[in-house]
This record gives sequence, C-alpha cells and structure tokens, in this order.
Amino acid sequence: MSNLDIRSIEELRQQEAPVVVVDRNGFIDYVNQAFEQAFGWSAAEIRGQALTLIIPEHLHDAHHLGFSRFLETGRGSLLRRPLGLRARDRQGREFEAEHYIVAERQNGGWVFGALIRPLEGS
Amino acid sequence: MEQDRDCLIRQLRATLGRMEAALSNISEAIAWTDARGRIQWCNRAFDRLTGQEHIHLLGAEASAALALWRRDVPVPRQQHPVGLALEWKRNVAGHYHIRLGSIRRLLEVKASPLGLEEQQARVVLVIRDMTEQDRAEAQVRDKTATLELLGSIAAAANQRASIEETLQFALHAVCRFTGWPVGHVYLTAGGSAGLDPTTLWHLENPERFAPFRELTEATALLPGRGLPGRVLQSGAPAWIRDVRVDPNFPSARAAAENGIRAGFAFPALVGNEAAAVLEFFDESPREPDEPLLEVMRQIGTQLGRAIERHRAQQEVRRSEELFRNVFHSASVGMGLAEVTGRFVQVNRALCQLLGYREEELLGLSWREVTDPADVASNNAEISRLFGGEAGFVQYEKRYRHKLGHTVWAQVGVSLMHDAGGRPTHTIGQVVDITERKAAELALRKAHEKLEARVRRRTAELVRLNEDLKREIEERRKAETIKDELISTVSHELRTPLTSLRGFAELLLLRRPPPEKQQRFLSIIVQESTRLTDLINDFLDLQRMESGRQVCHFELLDLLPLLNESASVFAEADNSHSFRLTTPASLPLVRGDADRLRQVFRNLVSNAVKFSPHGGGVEIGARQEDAGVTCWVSDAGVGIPVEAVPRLFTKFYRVDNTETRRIGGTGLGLALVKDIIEAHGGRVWAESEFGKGSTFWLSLPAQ
Repeated sequence: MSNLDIRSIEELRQQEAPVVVVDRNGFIDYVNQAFEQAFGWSAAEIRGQALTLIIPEHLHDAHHLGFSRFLETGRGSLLRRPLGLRARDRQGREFEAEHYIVAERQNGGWVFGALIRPLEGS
Repeated sequence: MEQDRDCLIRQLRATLGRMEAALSNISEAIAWTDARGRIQWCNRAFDRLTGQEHIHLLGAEASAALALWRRDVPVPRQQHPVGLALEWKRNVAGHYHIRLGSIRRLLEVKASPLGLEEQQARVVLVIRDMTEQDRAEAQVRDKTATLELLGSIAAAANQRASIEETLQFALHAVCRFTGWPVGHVYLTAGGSAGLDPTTLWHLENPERFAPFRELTEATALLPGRGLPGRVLQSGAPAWIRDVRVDPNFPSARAAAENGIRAGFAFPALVGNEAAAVLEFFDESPREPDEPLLEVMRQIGTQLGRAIERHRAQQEVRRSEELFRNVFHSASVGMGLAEVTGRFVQVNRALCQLLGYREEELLGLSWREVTDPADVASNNAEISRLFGGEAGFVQYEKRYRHKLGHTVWAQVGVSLMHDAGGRPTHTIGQVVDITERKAAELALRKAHEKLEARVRRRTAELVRLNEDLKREIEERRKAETIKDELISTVSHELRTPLTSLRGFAELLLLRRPPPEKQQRFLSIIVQESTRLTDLINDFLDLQRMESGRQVCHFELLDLLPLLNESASVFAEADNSHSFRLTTPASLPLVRGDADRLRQVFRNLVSNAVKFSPHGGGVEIGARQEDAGVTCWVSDAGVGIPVEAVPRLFTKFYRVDNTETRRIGGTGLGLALVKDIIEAHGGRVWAESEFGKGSTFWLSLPAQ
C-alpha cells in the first residue's frame, strides 16, 4: 500500500480494500462492501453518521482540529500518504490500520475519501 | 434543520481550523491530554521537543512521550506535571529536564486542568524550552564565578603576607568553586627535583579524610610519580577520572578507602618551573573538564606570580636587612641624602662622627653640617656627579661637629638612580681623618721648622761663604795692593832717594862751585819734600783703608773750609788766579773738617800742578738735591778720555810728556776718593784733554 498513488475519490471507490467517503462537514456519505465487512456497519446504517464513529476516542480532538484546519486553510499534513492509525469497528474494538486519505473539490466543497486496511495481527 | 446544523458545523470548523493553524505554528510546545493523561493533540513544536512522529504522539501517555527529569533523576509518572494537574485539579508549573540521546534540555512546563467532569477533563501542557536561556545564564554564572574565583585569588596573592596563606586561600576558593571536598598543596623540594607535601589542606570532612591526609603528608614525590609528580614533570594540569583505575596513583587504595575517586592537579608556574602543585579530589568519578582545567591553569599562573613576587620580596627583604646591617654596623660613616642634600638615612658611625642623634641628623642637609668654608667646593664636587662628569667623587672636607669643633673627613660620594635612570639620592661614605690631619699638621709644622732651620743654616753658610770669599778676595786684593804698593813704593821711593844720594855724593866728592852746590842742595830739599809728601800720603791712605783712620764727624759748614783752601793757595801762588763760586749759605753736612780740608787741598793742589802755564782755578759749591756739590776746576792740560775712569786708582798717573814733567805721588786722588766715600759721598771728574779738568764731589746734607 505504501506505493499507492490514488488521486481522486473515483479512483478510491474502485479499490477493493475498505473505503469510506465523507462530505465537507465530516459526515459519512459512502462506504463500500469491504468496509461493511471490516467495520460491521451496513452502508445504510452508517450513511449520514459522523466520521468520529470509526475513530477511537483519543483521536477525536486531533481529527476535529486537523479536519477543520484543512477546511479553513486547504493544507493538510496527512493526505495522500500511508498512515498508521487506530480505527474502531461497530463493536467498539480498536485496531491498527493503514489509512490513505484523499481530498477532492466537488461542487464548490471538499469531499474526503479514505482507504482503511486493518493490519494483520491487530 | 439539517441546513442549520450544517451551517453551525461549518462555523465551528472554521473557528477550530484557525485555532489549530495558530497553535500548530507557535514556538511554544503545546499539547493536551485526556483525563487519563494521554495526548489528544500537540503542535509541531511539541513534536520537535519530543523528537517523535506527530501521529505516534497522539494517544501516547504524556508522561512517557514527555519523559521529564529533575537533574539526573527521572520524574515518575505520578510526579509528572500532567499527573499532578489531573490529581490536584489545579495548575502545576516547574522546571524539568528532558533528554534526547545525550542532549539535555531545560524546560519550563505548565500543566493546566480543563473541564470539571471526570470524563471531559483535559490537561493543557504549555512548554517553553529554557535551554538556550539557561545555557546563556549558566555561562554568565560560570563566567562570573570564574572571574570571582580568579579575582579573589589575585587579591589574596596581593594581600596575603605569606605564600602559605595565599595557597591556603586558593585551596578553599577552588574547593568552593568546584564543590570538591579535598584540596592539598605540594611544594617543590629545595635542592632535589621532587615535591614535598605540605600541611596545607582543604578538607570538607577532616575526620573522614584523616588517613588519606596522613598518608599524603608522609609521601614525597619524584617528578612523574603520582598525580602531582606528573604535573611537576609536564608543567601542565592533569586529570584522573577515577583513582581506583589510574595506573599511576601510588596511594590509590588508601584514597579509594577514603572515598576518593576523581582528581585533578595543576602547577603554580614560576617561569617554566612548577614552584607548587595543587591537587583536588572528589568522591565520584568525573570526566575531564577542560574549561575547568583552563581556569585552574590561570589560577596556577596567578599563584606562580605570587610565589615569584613573594620570593623576590624575601630576597629584597634579605638584601635590605643585609644592607641595613652593613649600613648601621659599618665603622665608616654612611649617609643617604636626597638630591636637595637632606639626609634620609644615616648610620651610627656618621651620627657619632658628627655628634648628632639619628633623628636630629635626618632632616638636616649635609650642607648644614659642613664647615662653611668647604660648602662651595663640596657643591662643585657634587655637581660633577650630577653633571655626569664622574660616577664617584672623593675629597677631603671639614664637617662642623654639633659641639662646634671641626671634624676632618675623607668623603666618597656616588649617585643612586631610579628605574628611569634619574638620580634620586646621593650616598656618601665618610671617614674621620681628624687625627690623620692633626698628625699631618704636626708633621708639616715640624717639617717647616726643620726647613726654616735648614734655610737659616744655609743662609748662614752662604753668608759665611760669601764672607770667606770676600775675605779671600780682599786678602787677594790686599796682597795685590801690597805687591803693587811694594813695587810702586819701592820705585817711587827709590827715585827720590837715588836723586838725594846722587846729589849728596856730588856735593861730597866733587866739591862743586857754590852756585852748583846751591842748585844741588835745592834739588835735595825738593826731592826730600817729595819723599816726605809721598810717605805722608801713603801713610794716610794706609790708615784710611785699614780702617785705622777714624773720621771724627761733626756738623760742618763747608763755606769757611772752601774759603780757607782758596786763600791758602792764593797767598802762596801768584801765577794762578783763584775764584771762589759759592752761594751765601750752604746746608750743613756731617763731616770731618781735617779730612775734608785735606780733600780740597789735594784737589786745588792738583789743579795748580796741572795748569803749569797758570790760569784760573775755580773752587765752587752749590746746594743740590739732598746735599752739597763742590767742584774744583782748572784750565790746565786736561786728561785723556780713556784715563778718566782710572784717575782715582792708587799710583795711577796719566803718562805723557806733560805729566811726566809734573810730579806727584799718584796717591792724592785715591785718598780723596777714600775720604769722600767715608763721608757717604761721591767723587768724579770731567775733563777735556788740553783744555782743563773739573773734579766734583757731593756730600749728603745733614
């Protein structure tokens, strides 16, 4: 995954690994089948929920601040590179996963997509 | 409803975004934790401070991510400011160190609790890196402490009376500066090239280090041996990390047992030689501290200078003592005077010589104790010194003793100069030569007396000699005269006697006619008269010259005498006219009337005789200067020029046809001369051959 080069949300959608897409306010807009399997929510259940649902408690502040800073400044430090971050599933289990985040402007606002691949053994 | 929510969210996100951007970029490290002390957010400065990836910091235990230390002791989790702030629910602030590898940084950490509810509680960390400031402050502190140390040692070196006190002070000061508990001094041993231990110590805990001290004080070290020996040999500071593992530390075991570990030592250098070595010990092993050794090197230089100065002082003091002893105990008087002449130092001998007490003499000028007669010549000698004509002047002079009498002295004076070569003092040595002078004077007097006696004796001898010579001369003259007389007299007597005898025989044997008899008889009478005159003149002369004829002086008026002489001749002679030329009166003269009468008779008689054809004879006198001058002149045959000087010699007669016809004894003028000279007068003649003569005589008036 470290050699991934995904430039658009559309490209992201075509990945086989779990993918989530959120709108400019941080609400989940789309998840693929792999996501449903990995995290335990159906697409219908999770659509419209806040992204923090799948983020462990201790990263919420960092998420909110980082997300808001990007919206305000257009500069993000975590985009388009593999990140080792913890994630949370429907049962509240936290696990280590590789994240790859892409941001894209659509209809005058930002759309974000993340590919989240749980790491083996966690 | 949904739109309103979206809008609100957007507004919140905008605010948050701005805040995040601001906090991310400020230089202070900022982070906050959740109620369990796990980092929820941190800025880049915090990332840098901890040296960790931002992502990894999120969720990490703050007390682990930001591991704090107090000095060398790690701060436990419960004591971490985050823990304290969570527990106490109030602000916690403090200074801590963090370590990143070998780098240590000083931090000011403030931890502030936020939110009252247990689950919502946060702790905000604001951290300021104080390292640079601390380092700068520490540097200033170090520098200040170093300067204070150097300054205090420099001051001690200047002020302490002895080098031991200075070294002792240095031991205390260095131990205070380093915090090391043991300091000690070795001094270079006199003669040998090693080190002798001193009893100078700084000991924080004397009892504890007593065995080490005892051992050290009993151990002299050779160059190269032990820590001080190494320093002595190299002349440079040396450091031991741990005496227990140092290969060259003889008393390592004893030292180790006393808890000694690290040590350093440095030399007090005098020139390139160590005069002392100072050693210091700590109770923990220590890495070499080059900056500290550099400071110690400087202290060593200062102490070296102090030792050098102390030594120089001691030498000067010794010299000064020696000089003072020599100065005061010298039998020669010595005085040190300012250029003005005022004494500033005088020795006992000089005081004794001049009769003053030391305190009286100090403050006086040498001129005030010099005999006034010698001050000018003294000044001249001293001027030669100041003028650079001489480096040392020596002369004899007279001092005026306090009691008033004169003290003769031989004085040697030289100049003392300051560092700039300017003369500051005169130093004089004064030797009393009064006795010598007295002896000299006595000797000179004796000498003079002797010389006078010799002179007198010589003069006497000269006189005797001259007398003798005169006597011999006179005798010889007398002999000559006698011879001359005998021959002359015999001749002069023989001639008339031959005539007398001849004519008497003619009368007896031939019986001549009466006319002839008459003629012969008159010749006999004439010759007899002549013979009688001759004998009388001769006898008179003899009496005069032998001194047997004594003049009977009385006060005389010459006028009657001259009158008488003229008239006696005038009566008996008709062929000449006599003229008397005299003033009415003449001053009286002291004379013998008979003798002067004889003088005039002879002169007038000669005038008559030598003017055979008659003519005038003038007899004159006049007062002249201090006496009376008389003359007798004739108009007779005169005297040849060459004969004039000899006229008054006995038996001298002008020899020519005229005079041969005119008789005479040749003694008359000699007799005149003798008589006039016996009166203190003078006689002389003027004449022109064939025209007449004038005979002059002068007599002193009474």
